Amino acid sequence: MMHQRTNNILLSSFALGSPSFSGALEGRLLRRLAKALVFLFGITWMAPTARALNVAPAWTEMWVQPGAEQVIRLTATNEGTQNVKVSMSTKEGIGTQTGGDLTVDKWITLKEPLEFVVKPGETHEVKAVVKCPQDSPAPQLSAMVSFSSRGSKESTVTSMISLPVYAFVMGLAKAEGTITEIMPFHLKDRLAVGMKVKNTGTIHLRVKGRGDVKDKKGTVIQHFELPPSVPVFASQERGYGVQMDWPEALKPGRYTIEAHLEAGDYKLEGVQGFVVKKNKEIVVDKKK
Amino acid sequence: MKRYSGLLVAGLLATSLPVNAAFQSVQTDVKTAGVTLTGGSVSFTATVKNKSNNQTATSITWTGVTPGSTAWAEADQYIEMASVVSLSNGFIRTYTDNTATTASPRYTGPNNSSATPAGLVNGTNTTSVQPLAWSIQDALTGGRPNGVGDPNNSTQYYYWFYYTDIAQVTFNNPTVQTYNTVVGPGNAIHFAQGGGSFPDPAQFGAAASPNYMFFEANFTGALGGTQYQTNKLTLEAYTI
Repeated sequence: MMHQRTNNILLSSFALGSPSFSGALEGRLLRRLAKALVFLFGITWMAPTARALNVAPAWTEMWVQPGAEQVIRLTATNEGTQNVKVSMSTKEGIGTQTGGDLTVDKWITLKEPLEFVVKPGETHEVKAVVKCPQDSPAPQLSAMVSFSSRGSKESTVTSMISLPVYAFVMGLAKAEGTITEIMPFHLKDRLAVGMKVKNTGTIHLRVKGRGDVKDKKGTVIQHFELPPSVPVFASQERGYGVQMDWPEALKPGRYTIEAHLEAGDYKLEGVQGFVVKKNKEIVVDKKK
Repeated sequence: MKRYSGLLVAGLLATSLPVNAAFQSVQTDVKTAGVTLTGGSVSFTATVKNKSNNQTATSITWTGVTPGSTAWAEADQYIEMASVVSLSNGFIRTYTDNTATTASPRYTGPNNSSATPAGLVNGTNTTSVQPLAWSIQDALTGGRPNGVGDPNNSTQYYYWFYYTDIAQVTFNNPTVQTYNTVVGPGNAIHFAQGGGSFPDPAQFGAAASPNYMFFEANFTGALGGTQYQTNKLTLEAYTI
């Protein structure tokens, strides 16, 4: 079970339904599945007349065994004062790495009803069945589950919100990458740290983690957190950055940044030495 | 009188009839959607308004279109887009969905690398569409210095973007995703074409909300007495 508070919204929390896997793989798979879903934020739909629908999870990442079936659940909570009529659909996700004719309708199915009314204060649960084909041509399947609010009349613009669902196919999916660069710099009396991650695996890496700035004695003088954001797609490189107030203890001298990042179970570590000059200019060691 | 609702529509009727005479308002259209999470949010409210008086409108229409002579023409309405995109992985995109079962008219023509369902569908011959484009600006005036024209002329009409359709074969290509993105992280609006690959589009610039979406269509080859329309203009907030 996971939950996270958002801006004035406590997200729905739930866990994956029990997967049905073969015995030999069961323990390993369940351990992986325990970390499979990341519910990080809620999505709020607000129709014009005091209707508000909070849906979750905002994204789903899961490991799937070819041929096996899993059920994921999404919720829609009406936080407004009027009924909200919701229509559900699926579509191809961004970053889809499928091949051949493996379209989204062949591996993810929303359970009926696809249209429903959510009364104020109530939560409606939507189930989706994810069944990875036995012969999946790709290590990562990507879909979007869309919520659109339908009133009693048509309107000029169709507005919707879509949640991504990513399925990583066991046997084909490989999470692998490296931190290729850690770059501290002085930015308007703030300390900024850029970290570049190269994805050398076959699925995207949604990187998050933490880092420490240490002095030459190894004492931590500044800690920072990197929240999850845009994933780095397979075979691509992406930069992530954090900023913080210039640490008082960051006087002229030699320091080290240690970055501890992760994408699911996969860990990425990086170390970079640097020197702070009297004018707060930062010179990065050529050799880590 | 035939009743239409929820349409992005252009009427090319006989010259003795007023253009758009067949369309009737049925609903004030204000659409809102949003995403919220710790550290940021994605939300938008799209309101259709008349260019003539900035009052809320019910449809997006074209008038003054003359078959045989009008090429690119701008719609009489715009969308006021109030948005917040403070999430680093949040976006708002736009596209048509003209092959949906609920599309009216529903595009029935070819869908391949050279022909797509995107645009205003010919209500009589549903195998053809008239090209449709959008532009988002941070002000109601002055944002389109060269007026309307072919987005492929990116030197002159760099602020227009052809509509894509969700059914078109290239829709999920990263370049297409960049192209159809209206607002990106930092509430940056897609003010001009060029550069970048999804999800790191270039030519985006932070702009205080609200911003304004305009629409143009190419009526070259359009036939008199024919209605061209879509009821599947979509604005979608999403994350990756």
